[in-house]
Amino acid sequence: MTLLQYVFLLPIIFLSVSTVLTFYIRGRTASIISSILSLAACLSMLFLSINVLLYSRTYRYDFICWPFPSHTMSNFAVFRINIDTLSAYFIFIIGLIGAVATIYGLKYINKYSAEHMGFFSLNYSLFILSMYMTVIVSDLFWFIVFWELMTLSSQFLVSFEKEKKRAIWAGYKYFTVTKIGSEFIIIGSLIAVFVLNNFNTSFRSISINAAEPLGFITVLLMFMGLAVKAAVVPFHTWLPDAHPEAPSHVSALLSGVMIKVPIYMMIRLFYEFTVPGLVWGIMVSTVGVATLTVGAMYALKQTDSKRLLAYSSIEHIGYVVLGLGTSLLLVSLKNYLLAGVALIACLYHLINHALFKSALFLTAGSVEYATGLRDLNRLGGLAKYMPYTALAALIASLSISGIPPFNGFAGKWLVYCSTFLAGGLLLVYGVLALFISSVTSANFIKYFTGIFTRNISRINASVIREVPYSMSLSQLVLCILCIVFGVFPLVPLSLILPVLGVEAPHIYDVVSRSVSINIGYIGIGSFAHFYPLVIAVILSTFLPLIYVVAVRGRGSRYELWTCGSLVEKRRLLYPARSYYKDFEEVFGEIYSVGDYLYKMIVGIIPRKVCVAFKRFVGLADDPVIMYMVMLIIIVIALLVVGV
Amino acid sequence: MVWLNTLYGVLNACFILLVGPLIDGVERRIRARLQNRRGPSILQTWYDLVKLFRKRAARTGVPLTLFRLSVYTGFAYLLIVSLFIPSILCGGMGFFGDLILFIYLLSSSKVFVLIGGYSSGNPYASIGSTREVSLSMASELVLAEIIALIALSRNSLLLNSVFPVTAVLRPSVLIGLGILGIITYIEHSRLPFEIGEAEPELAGGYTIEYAGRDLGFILWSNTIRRALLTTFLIDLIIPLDVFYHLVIYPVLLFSIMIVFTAIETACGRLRIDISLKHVKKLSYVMWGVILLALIGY
Amino acid sequence: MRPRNKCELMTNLRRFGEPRLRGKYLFISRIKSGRLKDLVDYLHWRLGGYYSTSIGVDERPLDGYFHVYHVFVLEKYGVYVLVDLPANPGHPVVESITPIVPAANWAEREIMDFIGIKFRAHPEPHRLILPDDWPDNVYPLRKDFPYDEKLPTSDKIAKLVRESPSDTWIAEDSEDHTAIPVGPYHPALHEPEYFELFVEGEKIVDARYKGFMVHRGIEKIAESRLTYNQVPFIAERICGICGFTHSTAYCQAVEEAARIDVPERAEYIRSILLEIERIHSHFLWMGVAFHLLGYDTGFMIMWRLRESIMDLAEKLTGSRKMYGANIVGGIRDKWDIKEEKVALINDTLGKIREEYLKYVPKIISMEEIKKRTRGVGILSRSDARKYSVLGPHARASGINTDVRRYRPYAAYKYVDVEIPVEDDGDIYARIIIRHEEIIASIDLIHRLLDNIPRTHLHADTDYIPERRYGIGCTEAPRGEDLHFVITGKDNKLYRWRPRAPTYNNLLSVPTMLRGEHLADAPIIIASIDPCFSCTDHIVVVDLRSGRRRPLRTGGLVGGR
Repeated sequence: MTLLQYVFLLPIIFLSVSTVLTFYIRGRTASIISSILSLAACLSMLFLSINVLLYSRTYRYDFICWPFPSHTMSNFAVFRINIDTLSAYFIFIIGLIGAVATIYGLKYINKYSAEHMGFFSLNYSLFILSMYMTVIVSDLFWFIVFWELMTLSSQFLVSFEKEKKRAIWAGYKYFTVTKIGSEFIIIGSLIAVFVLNNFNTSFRSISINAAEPLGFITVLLMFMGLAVKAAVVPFHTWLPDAHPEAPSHVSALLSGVMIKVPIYMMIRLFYEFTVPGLVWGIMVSTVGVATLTVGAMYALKQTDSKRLLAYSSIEHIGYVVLGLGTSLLLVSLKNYLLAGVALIACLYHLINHALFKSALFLTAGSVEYATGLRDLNRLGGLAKYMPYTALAALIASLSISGIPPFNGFAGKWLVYCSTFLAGGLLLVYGVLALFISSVTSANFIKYFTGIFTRNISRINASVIREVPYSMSLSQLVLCILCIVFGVFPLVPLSLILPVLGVEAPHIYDVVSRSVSINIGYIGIGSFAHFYPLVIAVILSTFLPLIYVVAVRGRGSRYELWTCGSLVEKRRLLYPARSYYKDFEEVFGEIYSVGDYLYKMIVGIIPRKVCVAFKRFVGLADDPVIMYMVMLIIIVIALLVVGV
Repeated sequence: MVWLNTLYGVLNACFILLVGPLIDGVERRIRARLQNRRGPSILQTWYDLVKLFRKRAARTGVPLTLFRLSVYTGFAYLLIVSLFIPSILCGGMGFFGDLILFIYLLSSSKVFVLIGGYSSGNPYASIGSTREVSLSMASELVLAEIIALIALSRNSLLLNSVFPVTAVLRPSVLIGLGILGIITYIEHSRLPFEIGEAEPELAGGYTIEYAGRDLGFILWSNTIRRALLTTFLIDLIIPLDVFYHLVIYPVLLFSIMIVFTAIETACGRLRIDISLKHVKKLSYVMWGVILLALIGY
Repeated sequence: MRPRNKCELMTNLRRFGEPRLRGKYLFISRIKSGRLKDLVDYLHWRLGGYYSTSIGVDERPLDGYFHVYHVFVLEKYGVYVLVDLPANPGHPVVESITPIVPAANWAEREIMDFIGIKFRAHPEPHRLILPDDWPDNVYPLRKDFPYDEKLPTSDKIAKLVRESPSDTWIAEDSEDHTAIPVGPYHPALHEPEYFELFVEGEKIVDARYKGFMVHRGIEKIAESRLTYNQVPFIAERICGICGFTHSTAYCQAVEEAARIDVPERAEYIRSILLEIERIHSHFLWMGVAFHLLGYDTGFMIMWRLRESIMDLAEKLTGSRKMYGANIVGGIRDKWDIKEEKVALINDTLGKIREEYLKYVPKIISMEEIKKRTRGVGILSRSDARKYSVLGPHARASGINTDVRRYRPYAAYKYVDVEIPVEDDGDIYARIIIRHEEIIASIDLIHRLLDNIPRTHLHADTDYIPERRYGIGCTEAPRGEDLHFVITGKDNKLYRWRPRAPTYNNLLSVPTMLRGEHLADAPIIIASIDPCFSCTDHIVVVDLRSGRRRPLRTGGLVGGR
């Protein structure tokens, strides 16, 4: 028992060791060592989170780092760790996706030269460590420290390919934009800590009254800061540049996990630090619906596989934020049942998105690994050569498109239930969300068919092989989870409900009374219900049956019908950029609004900051110096304001 | 109760599967008459299907399993819908889903068929599928609005509480039903909006590479989809009652299809951009209707 | 300054070469070196005339040269200008006029294929008509090439099936775009031809045409085996829709060359049959157009109306198509339109007119039809001039041209012909033009029937002198149909070249397609009312064996 008490230290130990080791070791050895240690860390995270969520253990520790003479300062000296169910839920996601991505990365990373492998591995373990630390600390000061560390280490992962100008630029853009975001958080936290909460940085003691002006500003600043990191519209523009540039398993971590960390803090912010009013519900849900609309519509235009996925990440963060916003709004309207459904939807969709988006990034990575291409205009017909990857991409695409009974549908269904039944403004948002869901399916029809189907392509097919087993299996594991989480909603809900129980007990009471759940069923009072297990059973009996009855036999083989003319097949390829031209034109308003936002809010300012930062980075190229400088700046800033 | 509902569902599904091609046969006859032709027997669509089922399938697409299996998966999804939506019998396996699931299952079946179309690699199929996807994206917006309207007026998404929506007679509901009629017509892919197959332009569009059994299943699926969409419309209108469903429902089903056919014969084919604009206008109207519903009418 | 009359014209033309006026034909020979382009520019762009076609003739047995005749029509002066370019048999090269008049593109390439005269500075000097497996340096229309020659099997055939046909005509930049093959077998096309559309989304960025897939070698057979009076029957078989206009044009060409006066009654009957054919053709076209717009009910209505026109034709001539009425010098005896038939025609046309006006004005004012056709497939007036488009196609682009009015032939000399002209240049304008032409034609037939005189049906045609030139023009349903003949010995033609209107109109299709929507491609292609068999007409090549098979004449000419 006593050992179990310290299990939360395991990831820290593994990842710290990995960080330190990779600082000295270079080349492929470094990547193998860091992969093994990261994997061990991720598995221990999974263990830890299951412990917390299912066996309701809690981990709460205050370490006194150094004794401070003054009472006011002593707060900073305490390193508080509190792993409650909410933390555990996110640790679960980090552990799960981290483990799969790490296994995938073992072989995938061989694509790159061994030269910078040490640097990469260092940042990789540091990145996972900082995400882990960000969600376990229970202290605003340390939260910011690890938050910054997360930004920094992931920035180096994004601009890992130093030869590519675009990667470097994407890294700078990512860093500067999210840095501005974290300045908002810092300022917000400073106000929260020094003005409103009597120098107390512990999560437990922070309470902000959002109704009074200063409190409102504080919450606004913190929300904006978190929104930047979560790539919520209008602060989303860094994401489509940054995520595709990173190696694919890192992209999976970035899109699958990292942009969820701000959601973690948002939930804390709105459910622990403050009691948000109606305004906040409206604001957050509006931002959410704007995010999902813009994300999906822009994804429609993309022809780069990973860029498409990146935009789609923005879209799905939109769903998550919409769920959160809806729950806030409904809480303030005292509609606890639907608020609970919305919060469940938020958390459910969050883990779903982590699963299928990581799987999709991994498939995009596999395709890049096998062909060196990300251009959907040129790819095609890979299903024949890469069957496992194709299967994984198909399942993940169907999940993300919300085809029942895969998990994407379950999450979205909860969002629709809460919004449609709530009425009013939320009804409008629900309509938009449902519409956008069909755009998502169009996106992923494009993604899947663009890469894997169509028997013709402009690339040389003879050199294409299926990726190594470690890669294809890690994709398939995620896909199996996609199916499991969809068909058996009990599985994710048993992880989510404890979170609800701790974060919002009053909601939890209502939910546990009115929402009926069994192994393959969710029913929301007498309003809506959904039995994915039955659908799965019907499908899984009917499809083999029809396969035996009708599909049996290969059919006679013919050439493609080209009206009897002798056109080279290569020239018949219908490129991805041609797919939805007319739709984009007719529904073009969204693009003009989006482009306007881009120009006005995030286009001009960060570019200037970018240039300034470039100069700064030019001076300090060594990552260690960078870390030191960043930490010192933060500490000095805090001290100056504090004194 | 569950078992009885399951039985009802199975019987309903059988009804829809059988009557879909029959309606198509009747439509062909009526269309012919309106064009001063004699027209085929009303069983002609069934004869066609049986003939196609006997023939061997052809293949060109390389992802063979996907190319062929997608057709049957699409069919399976329609089958699930027909199991749980009340049609000839007043009941069904409504215990496993609600309105949203209905919409999703219908569009899922289309997604599968279109993935099959894309995977054939024929540019005509790609263009046809693209048109279908674009149009169904646009009409999904209107459908979503209609679902919202229904949810608003009945305060539930369950089939049993939603049907019939005419129990609340509000102006917004009536206009909404009218718009649902139009969107049903569009989703039927009838003539001004029949742009995915568009024989004179795309030579069959997404079905171009299919032959034999596979083609038969696609055609069958299309008739079933039409029947299901119309059934949904009728379910929203007539009371959930044994008599109404057994007697009034088939009459309405056939007469709506016949009216649609009559409209179809008087129409030419629209271009994709024009038809998208039409649907978009419809969605604007529908926003107005929702506003009307929100303020209590 | 345009010359006011023929004399001034002759004076002006002396700047370029030696003009000689022979009846309606103004030959310009001995073109001063370097002045050809100026001359062509003057004729086509400044004088208000237009380029019609080019004919290559192997006149080595007569004067030792190959000749190229560029035919320009100057309607204002009532003359055909034939720019005569002789080519040395040892080194047959002449200057190309395609850079000045793009309309000459195909005609020059055809001459390159068939006669072997090279055109200097031609922008696309590739094969047009001869198949890819045809041996080099074999020119089928030269006089030393026997019509029953059997060429050796070529091994290029196997290659041809596996690879795409001559890729040379595809521009480099088209590589990135998806190629949509339209044809040879496509539901929208009713004859084999091949359009390759390069699309971006559904927008057409470029279009290429490859045709002449059903080339039948009619010219060679006519020149080698058939007598003057057998040719009308094969001429009628150039086209399955507008055959009679071809045989009329041929007969007129020979009549011009031999200076035969056709009796008036024959002229009236020709005109009546031509108008019936026009109505039939326009009905057919409208039906097809509605079908391509997805409006099948309209298609059914038009084709039902067409049936009654075909029945009428059967009652008049004994066959629904291929009337077989024409011979050189008039009309065959049994094809006379007797009194009782006059009433029949009037009755039938009255009914057709009534029914037509019941449906079609409503159809063409339908919003959907307008939305699909207005502003689509626009051919500007200048582009129309550039490609010398003809007939309704030209009239829809604001060019007032009609052979029936400006170069009246047959009975059009005696009646007024209504010529509808539209300025929009889009598909809707083409529909309207044809719609109005149908009504005008019905009225015209009534008027012709009222005035039909009682004369003989055909003139005596005992002797036709040698080496006379003749051009016969008719206004086919699709535009000016031009037949060029040179008379020969032994009751045979020396050279015959039919040029169907689609030959010129087709060249303008890629221009109309560019920038349009793929969904509109079929209707744009159809809007010129293309007739591919007309255009392709002329060497049967059995692709499988690679052998050229001479056409039997026996089956074509029915008993007289």
